[in-house]
Amino acid sequence: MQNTAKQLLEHYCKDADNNAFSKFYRTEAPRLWQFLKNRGCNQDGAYDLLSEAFLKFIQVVCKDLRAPVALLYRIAINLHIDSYRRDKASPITQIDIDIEQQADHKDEFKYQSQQDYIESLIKHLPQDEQNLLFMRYRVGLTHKEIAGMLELPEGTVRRQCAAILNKLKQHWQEDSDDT
Amino acid sequence: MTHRFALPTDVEIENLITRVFESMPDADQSRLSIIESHLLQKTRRNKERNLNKMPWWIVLVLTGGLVTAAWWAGEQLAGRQNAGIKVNEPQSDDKIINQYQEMNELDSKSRQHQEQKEYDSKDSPVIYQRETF
Repeated sequence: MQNTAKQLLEHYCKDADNNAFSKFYRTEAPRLWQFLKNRGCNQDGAYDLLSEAFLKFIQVVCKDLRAPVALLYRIAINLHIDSYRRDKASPITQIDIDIEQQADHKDEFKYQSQQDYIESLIKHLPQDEQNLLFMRYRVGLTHKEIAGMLELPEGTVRRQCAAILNKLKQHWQEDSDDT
Repeated sequence: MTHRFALPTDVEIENLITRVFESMPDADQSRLSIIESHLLQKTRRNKERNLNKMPWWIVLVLTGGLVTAAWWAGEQLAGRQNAGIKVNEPQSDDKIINQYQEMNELDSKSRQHQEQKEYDSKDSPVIYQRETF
């Protein structure tokens, strides 16, 4: 999948093939929007950040085509951090977040399925750990690509992923009715 | 004690995580399409700018070449004009005198030659005759 993205962007950069870029965009944009939404952006904010991230991405991607998807997400994360810092002073944004968090707590006790339960566990993980899971299991990045994106050693990323899975399992066991 | 689900294996938990992320609300396709069209416009503009952008060293080499060619052509043109002027240039007095001297010498030689021929044809008995200058 990452190779396909890489090939599409190689076409875009070398042959100026806009169709290749469109294909890449249509694959990555919905996931990036979900990622930004998952990081706490509101709907409109997620679209704005997505647009800005892709704009910055097309300016730099042709210089280094090694891990384009990781690059896109790194740009999006940086933009989100900047926007979060800008909006930090705004009380309205803070209230919205509080309301969302309260709603999450209400859902905690309604688990129709394993998926609902694991979803609530993921929502209560720190943001960095949620990002890591999203990159790994939704975007499909390898440990190496995530490591390149977060500027961490590959081994560290591997260990962090394993630790998050263990943490989820531990919570699962602790919350189980059988224990 | 909040659930009654059995503890999943690593693979199962990974699948569950994937399904959780996949079931997240989707983006509005129409809004994504609008962003896509803006991006494509931007990429077309970037492409046009790149076409207009030439490496500085190519510009430098071409300019240098043109300047050298123009200088060389100028030199050549000036050389030809000077050569034309030399042909029509007024000659100095010494040269004119030399030319007349050469012409006189040639005339006198040819005259002597003719006189010699005349004497030869007449086959005159005069052995000696004083020359008149």
